[in-house]
Amino acid sequence: MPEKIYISGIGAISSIGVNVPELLASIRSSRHGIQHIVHLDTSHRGNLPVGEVKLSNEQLAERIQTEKASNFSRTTLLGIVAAREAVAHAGIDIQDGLKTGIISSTSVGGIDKTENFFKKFFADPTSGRLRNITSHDCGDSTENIAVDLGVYHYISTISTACSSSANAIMTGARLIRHKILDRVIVGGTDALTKYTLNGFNALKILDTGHCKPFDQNRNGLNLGEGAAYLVLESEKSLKQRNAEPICYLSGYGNANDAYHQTASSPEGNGAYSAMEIALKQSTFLPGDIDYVNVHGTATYVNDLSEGTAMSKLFSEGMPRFSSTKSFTGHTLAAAGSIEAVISVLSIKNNFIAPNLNFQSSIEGLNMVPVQELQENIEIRNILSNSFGFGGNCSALVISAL
Amino acid sequence: MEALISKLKEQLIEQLNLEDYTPEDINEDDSLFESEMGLDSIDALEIIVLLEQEYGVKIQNKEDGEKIFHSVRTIAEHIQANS
Amino acid sequence: MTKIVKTAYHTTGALHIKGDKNPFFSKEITYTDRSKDLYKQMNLSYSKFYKMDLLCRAAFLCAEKLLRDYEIVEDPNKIGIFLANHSSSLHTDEQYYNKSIDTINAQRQPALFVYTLPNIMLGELSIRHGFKGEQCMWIDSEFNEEFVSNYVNSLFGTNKIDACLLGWVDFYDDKENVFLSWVEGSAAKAEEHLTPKNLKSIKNYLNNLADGSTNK
Repeated sequence: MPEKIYISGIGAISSIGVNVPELLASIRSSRHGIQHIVHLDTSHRGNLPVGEVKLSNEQLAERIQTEKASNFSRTTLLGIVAAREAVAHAGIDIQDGLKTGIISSTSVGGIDKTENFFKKFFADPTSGRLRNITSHDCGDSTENIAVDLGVYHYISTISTACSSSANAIMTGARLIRHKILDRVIVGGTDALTKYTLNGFNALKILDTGHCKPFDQNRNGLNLGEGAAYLVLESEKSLKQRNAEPICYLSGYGNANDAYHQTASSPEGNGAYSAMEIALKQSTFLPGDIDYVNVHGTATYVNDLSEGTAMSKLFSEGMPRFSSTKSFTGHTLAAAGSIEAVISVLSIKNNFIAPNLNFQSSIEGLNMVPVQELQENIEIRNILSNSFGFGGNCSALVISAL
Repeated sequence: MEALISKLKEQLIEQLNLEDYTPEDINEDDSLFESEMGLDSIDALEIIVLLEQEYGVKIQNKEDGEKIFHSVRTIAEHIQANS
Repeated sequence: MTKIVKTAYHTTGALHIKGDKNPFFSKEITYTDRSKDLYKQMNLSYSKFYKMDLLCRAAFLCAEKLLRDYEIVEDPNKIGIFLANHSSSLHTDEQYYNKSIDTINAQRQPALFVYTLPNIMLGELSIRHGFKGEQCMWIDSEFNEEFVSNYVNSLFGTNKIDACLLGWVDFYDDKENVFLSWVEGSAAKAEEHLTPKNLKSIKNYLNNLADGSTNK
């Protein structure tokens, strides 16, 4: 019997809240975070609505009160805020002798600082502060978060686009199962940048209005930013410190669609495989899933493909589902962990978040998401999907104790 | 028209990185997206960029793109009709 | 016992398997030209190659060398890919950025933007070879043989995969630095087991090649 992987702490920052209580309150009042850009200095301000965290870099730095904070990339700042919350929530003392690691993930890394540097640099090669490009690489935010928390036993960074933090959760679980770590902080962080805005705009998959996941008339996604971390612990670790977990990670799966660099296969093969593997590992059946937090980016291709895969998997009856990207926007590498945090909250607080902006089902699919907040319902098992560019499909099953 | 078609073929080869192909390999009436060239949705976006940058022709909807980009000839006709 | 069946190396214009009688080699000055030269030398016919960015080309060519004439019998749904590198997709990130500061063309490079993620090469390899099993991509200062060996062995042990590609695929500053190993759960003709020690010697061999301190 493989070791049970417990979830003992959660932390999150996104456009709907700077911490978990705020996030919960936003969902409960159907208050989404998609609006016109405030902080990012871009020509798209006013044209492309996004899920921006409602704090400037200065405000974030002030929150975390560290000496070097004013030099940190926005990705790092968001990551530190969320990781600290998760660790505090779990109540762990990082220095208590148990083997603690961190697996973070990001797709943007420190690009927010780099793009500001290059503007000055290209205008005049003697200007621009070189220090601003030292945070460019993906590993930098992870290292800074690790130093901030005091984690040194194992540190790594995953970068598989939109499935990154789901994969970080999977990797962390395995490190515990193989006794390399007793507990691990897992998740991801990504900040909004001109780079990603321009890039996604070039792919023409951004909605100029508020996104409509799983709707027949969906028009693309809204980009978002944020960070979220979970603390995964072994039974040994919990016993040693006499702590109670919130719920547990019962299954996970990853597979590749092998179809196209950025579009999913029409049948959703990669998605189907990932979900099937995760379910199988959990030993639960499709009928045991009470809610699916779909990847649901609201692009034409993803929702059709994901819906097709789900119809095949849940052929005996579609569980309730919704896309919380209608609240947070698509937070890229952080999506898997933000949505895992929302799933943990759903189990603990007995609710299902609504899928905003839904009007009519995707033709041929007959799938209707939850449209109003549902409360006071027992949720025992949640399937959470995260599918990334490069065909990397991941699924997690989170279950009540 | 023939000159435009010829120029378009060269530009498509360049923009879409079709290094295995010469303009003679491309038949202007063959379907671009259903051929062995293996063009995909990203290539369609690149063609949209090409039309805007080189010919000042904007494609407003991706969906119109499907008809316009059927073949090199249909692209050429669209350019002539809109510039 | 999981075994490294064979390993291909790609650095400084060379593409070979250790002990190979038929290495490929290109003297071209830029990797753009080196990669095209090697593609032609290998007589490949896969026009999508030309659309790939240089990181993906490096991964692609090394995999072609590794798997050339090799019969894969495992179920593609249980063939995984596990790669790591240091530079992520930095080369292409810079190219994309350099072009975007020309404001007229600022938003207009969909094909290049696609490659500003290091894991796209997992996708390219999957599409080429039809591998649909579990995959992951890690960013590390150097190849972590202990971690990768334990991780991949555990996947074999829990029957998640029956075979996989694993390795280090780094490209930056016009330098390709790649090794790819083909690993199977049970192989009759392999020489090495998948262990941190054996992965470390593969890593060291690649580093020596890249430094030019090993005779090819």
